Amino acid sequence: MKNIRPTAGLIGLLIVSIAALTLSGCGKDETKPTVAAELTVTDPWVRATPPGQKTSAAYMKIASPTADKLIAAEVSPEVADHAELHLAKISTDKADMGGDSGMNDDSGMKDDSDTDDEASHTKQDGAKMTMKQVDSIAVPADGSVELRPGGYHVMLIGLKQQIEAGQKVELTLSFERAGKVKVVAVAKDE
Amino acid sequence: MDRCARRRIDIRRVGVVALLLTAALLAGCGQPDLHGDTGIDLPQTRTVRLPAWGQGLEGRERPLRPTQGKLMILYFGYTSCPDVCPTSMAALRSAVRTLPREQQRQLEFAMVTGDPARDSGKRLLEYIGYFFPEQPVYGYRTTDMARLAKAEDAFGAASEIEPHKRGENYSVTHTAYLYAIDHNGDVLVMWPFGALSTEIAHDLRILLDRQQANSSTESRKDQPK
Repeated sequence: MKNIRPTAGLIGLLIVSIAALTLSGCGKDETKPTVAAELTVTDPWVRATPPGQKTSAAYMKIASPTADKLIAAEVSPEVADHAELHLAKISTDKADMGGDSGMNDDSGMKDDSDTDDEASHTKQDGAKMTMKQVDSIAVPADGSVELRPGGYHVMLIGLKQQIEAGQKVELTLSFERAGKVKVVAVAKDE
Repeated sequence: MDRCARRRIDIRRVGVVALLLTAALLAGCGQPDLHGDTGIDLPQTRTVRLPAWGQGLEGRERPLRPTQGKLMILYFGYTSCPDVCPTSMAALRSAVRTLPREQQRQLEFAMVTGDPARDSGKRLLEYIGYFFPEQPVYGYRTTDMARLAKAEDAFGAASEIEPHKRGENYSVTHTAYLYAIDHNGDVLVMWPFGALSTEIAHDLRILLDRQQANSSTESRKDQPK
């Protein structure tokens, strides 16, 4: 009797283990995820505007497990004419204030740090803020990109009316991989 | 005996360190620490005058400074700016909202437009007034771009209109400092773009306290105007 029980127990264990292993291996194709992992947009918001304002900006955080690109944005024609992707940045062209400055030559995102540490400001010092339309905004794999004031933003052009704090603005974002994603941006005062 | 001797030495050491620290502190601050840029040498700001709107002025020339007893916060920008300008204005507004009422009343706000084609004087007032409905606001505008450049120069500011076709939407590249100006027309502090509202508020309190102290001293001296 004593000999039978342990053997039975062992066999039982074996059966259970095999079953568990088999079952865990079942039902999933381990070579590729069956559902494309999700890109998420969090905290979308848009700037409330003064009356008569024709443009505004929408901001948000975009995260994705796989590399992707935001390539376009659409807004309802009731809200604005159209939307574009923009990048605001510091243009550190200090060479010439006389109107001949190569302002149009955006030599990329040189992070020349602000000259604001200097104690005295002379007329050649000012770091200028500039803005340009971009074709796409990259979302790094397993990472995120933040559209925020002073950086990337979705620019809303040709506002049909004032955007008031609390108002909801629907945007349709187009991603290279994830396709179209609808978000509702809440208008904020700041 | 030994213990007493040791104690005496320790106290002396502590005393010396304390003295050194105090000296260092005193040397370092004749004034409390301001977050924004100080020690600004822009003598030309006193002489700038531009056509102004607000407070009954309809394009009449006015210097870029507040009335007596007030502090003016000035910004060079444009109203069609979707991101940078509203961000600066919003940060400033947040800062002002945290100030005691008495100090809020000592402020005036002004904007010089780098985009006179789209920004009328009226439009400027609408814009600044939206952010600061309770204080006197001024909009400065000139279509004489050389004159604008000279005014900007005086403040270490600059703006440049993006080349564009007629009818096309365009942006204006511009310096995005906020300037705190006293009634002499002198820039007391400059805050660069991105300065936090807490930093601006901290500085404003100090500047306004100082201004209050100065004005009461002046009135006591009864100086003839």
